[in-house]
Amino acid sequence: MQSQHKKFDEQHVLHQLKHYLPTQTPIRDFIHHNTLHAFQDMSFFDAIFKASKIFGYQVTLELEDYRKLFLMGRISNEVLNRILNQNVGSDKLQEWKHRMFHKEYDCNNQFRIGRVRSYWKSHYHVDLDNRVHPLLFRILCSYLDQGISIWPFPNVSEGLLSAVRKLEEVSAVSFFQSERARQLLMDEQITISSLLKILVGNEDFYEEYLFDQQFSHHGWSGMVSMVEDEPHTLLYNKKITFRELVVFELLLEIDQLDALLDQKWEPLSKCFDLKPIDLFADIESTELNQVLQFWQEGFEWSYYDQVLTGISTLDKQSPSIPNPPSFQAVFCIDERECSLRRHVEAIDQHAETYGSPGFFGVEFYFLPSGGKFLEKLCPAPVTPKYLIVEQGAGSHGQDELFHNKKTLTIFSGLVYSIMGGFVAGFQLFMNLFKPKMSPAISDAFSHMGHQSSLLVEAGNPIEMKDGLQMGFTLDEMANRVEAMLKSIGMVDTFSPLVYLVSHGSSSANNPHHGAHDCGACSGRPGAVNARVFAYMANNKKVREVLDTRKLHIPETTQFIGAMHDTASDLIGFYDEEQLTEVNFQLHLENKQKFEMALDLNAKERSRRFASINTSSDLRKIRKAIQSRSVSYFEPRPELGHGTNALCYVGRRSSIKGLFLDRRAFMNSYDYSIDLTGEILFGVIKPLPTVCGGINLEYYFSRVDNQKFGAGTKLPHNVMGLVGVSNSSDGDLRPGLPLQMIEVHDPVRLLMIVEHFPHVVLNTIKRTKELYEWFQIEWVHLIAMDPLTKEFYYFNNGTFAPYHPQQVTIPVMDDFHSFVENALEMETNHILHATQENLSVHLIK
Amino acid sequence: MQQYLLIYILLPFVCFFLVQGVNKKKEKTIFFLSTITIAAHFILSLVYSILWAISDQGVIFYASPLHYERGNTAFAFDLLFDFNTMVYAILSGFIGTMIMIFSRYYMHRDPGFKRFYSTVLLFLLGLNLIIFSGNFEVLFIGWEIIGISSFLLIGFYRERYLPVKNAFKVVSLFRLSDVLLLIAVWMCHHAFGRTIDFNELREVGFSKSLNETGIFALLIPFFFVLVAMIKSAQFPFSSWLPRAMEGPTTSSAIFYGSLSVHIGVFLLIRLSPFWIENIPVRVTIGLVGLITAFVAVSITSVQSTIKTQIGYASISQIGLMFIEIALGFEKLAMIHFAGNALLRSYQLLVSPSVLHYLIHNQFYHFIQPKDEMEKWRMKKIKSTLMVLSIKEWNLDNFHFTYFWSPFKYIGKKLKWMTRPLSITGTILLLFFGAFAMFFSNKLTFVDSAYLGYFLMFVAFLLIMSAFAERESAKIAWLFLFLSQLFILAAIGNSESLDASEIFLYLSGIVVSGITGFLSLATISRIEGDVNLQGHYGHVYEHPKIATVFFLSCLGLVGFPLTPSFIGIDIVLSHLEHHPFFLIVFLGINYIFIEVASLRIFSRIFLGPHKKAYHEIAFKSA
Repeated sequence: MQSQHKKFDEQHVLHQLKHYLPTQTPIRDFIHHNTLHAFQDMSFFDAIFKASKIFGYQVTLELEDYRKLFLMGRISNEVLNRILNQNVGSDKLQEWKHRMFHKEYDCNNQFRIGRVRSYWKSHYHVDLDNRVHPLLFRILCSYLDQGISIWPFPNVSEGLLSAVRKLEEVSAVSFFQSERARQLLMDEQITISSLLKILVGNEDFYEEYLFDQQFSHHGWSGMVSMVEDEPHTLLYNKKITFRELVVFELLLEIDQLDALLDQKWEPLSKCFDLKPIDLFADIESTELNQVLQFWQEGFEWSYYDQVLTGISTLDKQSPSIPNPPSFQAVFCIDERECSLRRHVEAIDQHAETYGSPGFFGVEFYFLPSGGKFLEKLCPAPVTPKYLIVEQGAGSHGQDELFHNKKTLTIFSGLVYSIMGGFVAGFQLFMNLFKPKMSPAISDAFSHMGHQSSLLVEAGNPIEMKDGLQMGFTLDEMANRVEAMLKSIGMVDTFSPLVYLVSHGSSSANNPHHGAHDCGACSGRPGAVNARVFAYMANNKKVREVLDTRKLHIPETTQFIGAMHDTASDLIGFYDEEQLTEVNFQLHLENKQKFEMALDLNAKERSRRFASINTSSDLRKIRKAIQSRSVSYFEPRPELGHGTNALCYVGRRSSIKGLFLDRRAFMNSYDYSIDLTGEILFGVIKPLPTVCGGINLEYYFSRVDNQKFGAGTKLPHNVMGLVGVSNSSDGDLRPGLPLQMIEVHDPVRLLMIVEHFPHVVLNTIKRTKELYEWFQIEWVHLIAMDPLTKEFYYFNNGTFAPYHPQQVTIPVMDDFHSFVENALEMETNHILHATQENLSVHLIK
Repeated sequence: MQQYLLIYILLPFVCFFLVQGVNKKKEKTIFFLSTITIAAHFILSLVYSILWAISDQGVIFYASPLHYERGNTAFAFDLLFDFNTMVYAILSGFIGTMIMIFSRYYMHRDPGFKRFYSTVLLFLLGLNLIIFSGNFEVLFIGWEIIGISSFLLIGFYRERYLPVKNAFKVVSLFRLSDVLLLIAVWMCHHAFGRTIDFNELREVGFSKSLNETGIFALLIPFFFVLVAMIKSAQFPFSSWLPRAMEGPTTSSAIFYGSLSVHIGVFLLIRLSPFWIENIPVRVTIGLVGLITAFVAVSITSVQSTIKTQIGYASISQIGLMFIEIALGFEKLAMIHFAGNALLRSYQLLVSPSVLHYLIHNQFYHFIQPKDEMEKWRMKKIKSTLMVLSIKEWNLDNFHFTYFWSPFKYIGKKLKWMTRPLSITGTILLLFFGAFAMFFSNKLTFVDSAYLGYFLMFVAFLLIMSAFAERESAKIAWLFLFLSQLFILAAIGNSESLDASEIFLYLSGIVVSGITGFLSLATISRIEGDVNLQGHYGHVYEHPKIATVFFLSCLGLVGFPLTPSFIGIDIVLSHLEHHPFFLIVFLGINYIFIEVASLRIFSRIFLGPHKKAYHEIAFKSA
């Protein structure tokens, strides 16, 4: 290869670095996203293997594990044969099977990152990371700190370098050990390339060096990069740029080298005889990667195939629901509501449930009463123009003695430790034996006051605040109600009561609590959205407008907002006092049904919880579930989106009667009112980003919990209220902790859309962005013909028929014994963990 | 009722071995066994304390019938119970029980569930040996056990780099305190001419007889103060505490929030007769406490990570306890300790919830802090203090630069010792030393005392060389093994040892040396050459070999696991007539044998696994 002199372009390299770094924002908002978003311009397997080769990530299960999964029966032979037949042809099938099952491979990953910088250690015997990281992280964390430290870092509105400079100017001691680095810092014109000239020397290696450097602590680098791009994610605003981090780190490196080697060192490129490489050059396709790909596909399709067989086995004629149903309930599409919907339908067979993204089509910022900041309540990519203000909620913030900073200083600390110590002991005892809600526990229901009122309707004239319109106008309300109802196909039948059940999650001692709340509400509880939507749909004037658009909601129908706490399995209803006498009576009955359904839901969830005996009394289980959500010692208050694998878009009736073990996102949609796919586009459009994002984050955190994920939660230390790390000197750990992903089977999302293939094809082709998700296989797509129930798999731009290969689907006779006898995993290794995920069953 | 004191030692001891027999997947059995033991310890402590208070017996002392005695040296298993023991025992019982229950679901499905519970039991055993100890020997065993259990708990997540690095860092400091304690005990023995137990400390004539020992009356208490300072993370030894919080939150809460870090306070109180009438020592203790309180609170103020912040807050309170002790308010210090231990362990346990709590609070009450330096009063002082505190007053580099680096430097200069010729020479020298030891009357041309010093010096060189070795683990191990033999030969040439003593000394060391060597040989046969350049994490594939090697390390350094422990103690007591520098040399040797052998263990078996076919954490994670 001809060596070309590479010109170092600072802007370009910084941009590249930011592109590949993790994009997790400060942890109070936890937005799920594809961890490998930077590689999402390539097809799935090409992308993951390339990322693995560059950064050393583990991107699939281990080869040996796949082999064992096959022996266990988790990967089906028929499915494997089909995949191999399609990919290598029947003549080479045996050869490939031999490779997959028996051939020995060297699975040791030799990755590219870290090559250049390793020479500090091998040539100078200096472990530069060890020397620089602790101080760098401590300064960064102090700078970005949101309120742990008692003395705030000074001058944070001017940027990191400027703040450090000012501190250095006044302080009698320096962060630096040697004079040169300090002098360089004081020079405001300092450039990255001038520093790299000192450290690296040869311009050809600048880019690689910076990648080595920043990816040795991707957590902090990613955080700085995100704070730069989205400063509003911090409540206490701090100005920082990624460039400043790079400059500062380079300075610290020079400083350490000067101090350790007494200035007797030369630029790194003089110490080695390397050829520059392109980190991002294409990788050779290897046989091992091919084998891993087939295994992974086999693992995925063995499950998908079960689901598709299940759907096609279902009775074509599902038991009919009276018109109107006894009540209707719209849930979030979240797969955790999958079981609750099933139980509601089982308790009241005349009730009907729907699924729609949990912000219910109303996007706005929320200002809680007494709040000093706004909260976004809609999917993350949307930027709302509206503001909903809460009034009369009473006090939101209460104090907790043991988080008080006075316990930390000398004299008040003395008083606190002598007096408060014994209270702490008592409290510890109570927390263990009688856990209850406290101000230090995140409570989904405290997000909005139960009795507060919301200003939903815009005044006349329209008021603006912070550039946002306060409330919605009549038209805007009608548009949203119409769009939402049409999207789920609720257009001609309305029960007296229509529930909008949002969800949130309560948990104690859990820095990742944001990841358990509603993804469609930017990782927050969705109660406000449910209430706002109910308000709009109940509004007489809105209904008049809707009448003109041929969407008639009977006068007797009332919408009511509610929230389900997915951790404690409690449900709360809002604005019940506005119900008519008749409806209120119905509501009381329905509440009972919800409670009964939640009992069953709690029981179903409890099978995965070691602390609960699933065979015990329902009431007891319910109580135990609730107490888990307020227990400090419980690292698994709930399991989040673990096990998610499917996303179904279509009529509930087409898959009713199937036990999917809480693994399916379910978006209601009725093709019959939308033969051209006009509505379908709006329905499908956000799903790959939201559900696919969740799914892929779980996938990657599962296959490499150390590099993509946050590792086990147990040693986590909260850093500056922006993230978690393991140690006092460790890097931030983005991604999901072990306790959230251990039940997850790493499979990509399978989207099943109930519509004719040509309509689906036209729909997804409407934007390139949407189309790409399926085209490059980060999400699988199947169209289900609503009339014949035939399946069509989208591959390479076309839909081709897919025939499920399994023959029979087991039947679940009795829910109780089924759940009680379900296997509990022995360890959280994939071989054991996957056995806890129940196969698809037909519900008798 | 004195013989019942033995129960406190036997309970965790027996339970520790019972738990070892349980399959690691049987979480419930492990949990119940350990929790019942510690809860029993708690209840017994309560009952015993009440009975003790009613009976109004004063101090309870149990003199063991079983002991090894030779001349004026005795090794006895004496126990003691008084007010301070009572406070510590009840508190450790309570916190221990709570943490055990807390951990049941917290640790659920952690692959190290059993390891966690066993280590906590081991820790409790060590703790009880300290707080119930009736003499220095028992205290010292406890001291060593706590050091090793800390190493295991800090390095609990052994597949990552930082826990391993920090575990090693902390255990090195702990080892320093072990050996300082050992030397202090030796000085006691030397000064009084016999073994003394803690009952004698409170006898009326004690301080008088202490004063008669001359320089030792000052040296001994100073050594004790140093020992206490290290274990209680006082200035300048504070920075280990936050770095010890690498294990699960529960273990940080029980060890470094409460029980372990306060043990220095207990030691000072237990040994107060040594210094209570000695004004310079009291002033020192007070000053150490004062400086620590100030430094720690300044670091607390700028800390932006929650566990570190709580850790330093705890240290500053311990600083105050040192002041209280110096002023003679022992009871107050004990109550202060109890309160601080409870408060900090609770704060650590709920520390992850700080994120929600503070953010939520901020959402409703945020006021932009005064973060513009121009508006600060005393700008210069505050900014200096801020920079210093963010750098943790350079404490973390301090030990490295002033303590470990010089020795590493010496070791690096000794590279030539690993050449085959030098090794052969060393072994011949050892034979000569051994010969001289048995037939000293025939070797009239050498002065056996000087020969002893020389052999001790060779042992020192061997250990330094092993400590800095980067290439071959086997050679490093061989040198450590040889160094123990050199030490024995050194002492044997200065003093006449009888065969049983030599046998006691060698028994454990030889066996450990061989098993350790075999483990290394097995690993290098399977994994190819094993060098000490970095961490290789072979425990991932070879946990059994790792365990054997770890036990061999402990055996080689004379951990109270094999009879060698008693052997070392006895042999040491022979040295009472020898110059102080010999003892210091021996002390340094004992520090570095352990540090160097744990270094071999860490590098070969712990840390990120060498083979990247499975998920491996980033080095910085």
